Amino acid sequence: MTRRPILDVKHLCVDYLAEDGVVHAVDDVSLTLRRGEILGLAGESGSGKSTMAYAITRLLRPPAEITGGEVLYDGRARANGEMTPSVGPVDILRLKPAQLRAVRWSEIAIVFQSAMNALNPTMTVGTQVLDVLATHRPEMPKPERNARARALFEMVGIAAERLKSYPHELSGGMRQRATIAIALALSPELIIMDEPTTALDVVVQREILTELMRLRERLDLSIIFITHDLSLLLEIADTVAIMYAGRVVESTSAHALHRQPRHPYSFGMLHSFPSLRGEQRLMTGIPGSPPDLRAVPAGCAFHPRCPLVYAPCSQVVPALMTMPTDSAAITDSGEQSVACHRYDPARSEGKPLPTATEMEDGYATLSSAFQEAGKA
Amino acid sequence: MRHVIRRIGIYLLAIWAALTINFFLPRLAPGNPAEIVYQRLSQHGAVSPATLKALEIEFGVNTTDPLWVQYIAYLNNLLHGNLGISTNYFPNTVTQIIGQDIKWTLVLLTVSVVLSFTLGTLIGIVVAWRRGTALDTVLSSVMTFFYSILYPWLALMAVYFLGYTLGWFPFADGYDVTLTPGWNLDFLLSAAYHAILPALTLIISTVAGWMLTMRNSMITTLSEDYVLLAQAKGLRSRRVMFAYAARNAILPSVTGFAIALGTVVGGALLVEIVFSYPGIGYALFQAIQSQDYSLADGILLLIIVATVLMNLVVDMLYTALDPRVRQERSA
Amino acid sequence: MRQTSPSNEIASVPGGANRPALPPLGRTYASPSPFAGLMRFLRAFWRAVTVNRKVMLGSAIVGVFVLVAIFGPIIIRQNPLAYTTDLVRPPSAAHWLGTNQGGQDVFVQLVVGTRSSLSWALLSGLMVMMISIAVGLVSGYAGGVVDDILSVITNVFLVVPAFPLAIVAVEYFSRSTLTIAIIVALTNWPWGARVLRAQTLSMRSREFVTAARAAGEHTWRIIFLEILPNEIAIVAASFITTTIQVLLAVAALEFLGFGDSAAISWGTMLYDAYFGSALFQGAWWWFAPPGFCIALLGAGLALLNFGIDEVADPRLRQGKRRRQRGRATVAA
Repeated sequence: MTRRPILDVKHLCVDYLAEDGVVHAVDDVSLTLRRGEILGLAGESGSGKSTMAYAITRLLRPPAEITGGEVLYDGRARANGEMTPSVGPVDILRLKPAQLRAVRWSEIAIVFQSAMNALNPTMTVGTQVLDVLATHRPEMPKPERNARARALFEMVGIAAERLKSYPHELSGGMRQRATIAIALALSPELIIMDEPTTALDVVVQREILTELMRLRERLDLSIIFITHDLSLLLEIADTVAIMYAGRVVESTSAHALHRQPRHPYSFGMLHSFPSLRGEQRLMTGIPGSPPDLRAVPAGCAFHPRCPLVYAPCSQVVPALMTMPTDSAAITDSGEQSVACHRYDPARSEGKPLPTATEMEDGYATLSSAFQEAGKA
Repeated sequence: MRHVIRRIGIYLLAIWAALTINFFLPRLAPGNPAEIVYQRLSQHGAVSPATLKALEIEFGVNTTDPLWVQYIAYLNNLLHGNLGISTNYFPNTVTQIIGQDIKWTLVLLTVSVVLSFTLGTLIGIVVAWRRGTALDTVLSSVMTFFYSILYPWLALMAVYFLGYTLGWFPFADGYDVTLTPGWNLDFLLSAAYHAILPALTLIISTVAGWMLTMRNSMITTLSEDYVLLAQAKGLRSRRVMFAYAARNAILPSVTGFAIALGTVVGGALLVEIVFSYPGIGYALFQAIQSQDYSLADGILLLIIVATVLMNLVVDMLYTALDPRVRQERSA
Repeated sequence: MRQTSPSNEIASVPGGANRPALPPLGRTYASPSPFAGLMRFLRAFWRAVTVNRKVMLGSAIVGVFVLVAIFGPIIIRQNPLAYTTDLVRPPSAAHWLGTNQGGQDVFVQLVVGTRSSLSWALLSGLMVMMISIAVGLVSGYAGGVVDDILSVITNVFLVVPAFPLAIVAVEYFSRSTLTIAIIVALTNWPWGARVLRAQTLSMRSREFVTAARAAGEHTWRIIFLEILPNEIAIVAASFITTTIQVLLAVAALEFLGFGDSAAISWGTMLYDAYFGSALFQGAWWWFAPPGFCIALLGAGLALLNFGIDEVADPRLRQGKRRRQRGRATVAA
């Protein structure tokens, strides 16, 4: 049952114009989110995952600039709040300002990482819900808008009296719930969540995630979930894309990724936290730090930290190649894309496909090498 | 509540400190101010030795009273609104003279400050919203020049070019002196006409400060997540600009306003002097020129008390504007 | 507000007072030349003044005035007070900016006056900063009762209007620019003190201060040799702000006739022009130039300050092509 894509990002490029040249924050990224699914976007800070969120909603500000690509959105077109059959996908990047304003929030909503910063400190949270309704549903009578705001707050698990509160009067978890309520105000089809739970403590994080999953079932939401916490994505997402230095290095179903991460970076990320199940493994993590985007290493950006590095890695940027998943047991779409020369028969130089053991050993060697270098 | 008490305490202390400085200044000064004033007065006619005695008491010279007795007497006089007698406008009391002049200053200052703060803040908002455009570049450059303009110089330029050369506006006095002051239309129109140049001078020389402060504050606020979220919400630009960005950006601007108040009041004094405007600034200058110490001191005290009160008002305004402080203060 | 260099870097160079304060000045190159030190300084200086457009323009303006102040009177070699028979002449080839009521050359006065105006502004600015630094740092570092008392004093002086107080105070003492400078300094320090106190407060708990305290360093040493060098950026910025304030305050008081009557400065030129009724003789060339110079020098200083702000806070940088190192703000 392949569902129609709601969002199709094609070859998106975002540049930052820095004083000393151009930085490619997002470099030729393509993603597909199918209706009703959760697409997880993972990566270290600076990998371009948040820039993706802003680019899709056209919220980037100078010096960031979209330099190419398409963001095809195929929602239920609406007129005056009524849903009409789809008119086919539109490219969000080509919408006129008025059209863009109409799509914003009624179709695509966002939840930001830090709710404290995302809420206007000088306005009650209630007003911040109501002004969405007032702008997009001017025909809705006032009492109805108020009722809607109360319903929204109760839906996300906050008492309706809290509408009168200012953000500083709410706890961190309540603030994040309030931003989710604001996001749900117009029953959007797609919500982009940029690290929505990172700033919260673990217990609250869990509560909000549970709430989110419940709402998603109930409201049939499509979600792009951005986080650095890959284990979380494996749990909640349908498909996962992993970004490194502005490019997607691996993209597949959560299931396939969990079973067999193919890119050495994905592998490293999955093993940089202790596995809760299964046999105990040494927690290695990925040595080194993410590259400075002003000076991205030539070839594969990951090669200085890669356990499998060999000659072509520092010369040619690997392309994202699609291949079938290994395991026949997997019933989903069954594709796994990876950008690594070792999986490219034309460049593998006769090396076999990498195995888990090889990557694990490689990381162990690499770690000690980095430690040596650190001491010296 | 503790915060309010603390602020009021600071203001009371400020007034007390100013009074005390004012008390000690003539006593620290070299020479004998009483003698100087007495000499000056006697040039205008016979003055009784009792006047010299009164002056000596006022300035604390040639007296056997210990300092603290003089100090208590001084505070006691002030508390009863007794600021002494003007030597220049003898036998008018300082309180009478100030009572006449303060109205002019109050109107001029209030109108100019309100207009320039509003205007500067609005320009700052718009320019920040369109930063990097030609509008921003031109306005910001011009404002940087006006940012540190000398009030009396701008006043001179206005008097010379708009008043003296072009003859568009009157450039001296507060009203047409052939009219009798009172609540009649002719007089009020004349007063308004005379106030245009002084007010314009004050507005132009202060607007740059408010504008640049607001611009910076606004730009910083514009990169906040809540402004981005407001945009993502598809709100109209005007609502994002005012209800989300400017509403928060104005808070540091209000604090800056309080700090700049003293400078603005000083500027008003200078502008009044150049325009021979019948307010307390001109009176202060004349009092100093003619060594009318009691009048000068009285005006200074008034200015200090007024500035402190204005600070209190701004403080309350800030409290009303920022819900975070509001809550903290009522808690 | 403004940021200073990260603490770990500081810890490795205890008390390095001459560390470059503002922008990262980059690598310095070892050179065999005996002028290596000088060259390195010049290169660092050049990089600092060209860090962005505002700083560049600001330094250019201030630089020109400084050069005029230093060399102007030497080159001109003409007595600015010399009376001639050319009374109140408009600008001409002989008198570039015309003459005043006494037939004195306005251009010569303007050039000679630059030295006085600039040096008094800098001197008073320096006095203000010394008081601000002493009060702000001691208050912020000491905390407790000392901080309470100093804060109250600072807040009290912040509320009292400086200029009217200065007018009256000047009147009781001898009329001289030194009196003006002292009084201006005594009435303008609270703002800088408040900013520095806040910064010191946040710096007090940094590792390098704790380390110095643990090493048994003397309190005064910690305050002035450990903390102060790390607040150089803020000190520089408030010094510039203060200098603008003081430049204006001194000129305003001189305009009212409280300065040295024999000295020539921009403020006394305005005094002479106003009370010599330049207005009604139509002699705009007499009072326009000094005020213009004040505004221009002030604008130069302000530009320097705005430029420093931009270095410290990338959000303030303008539009395209001139912003941002890497991905900081938006992608965070």
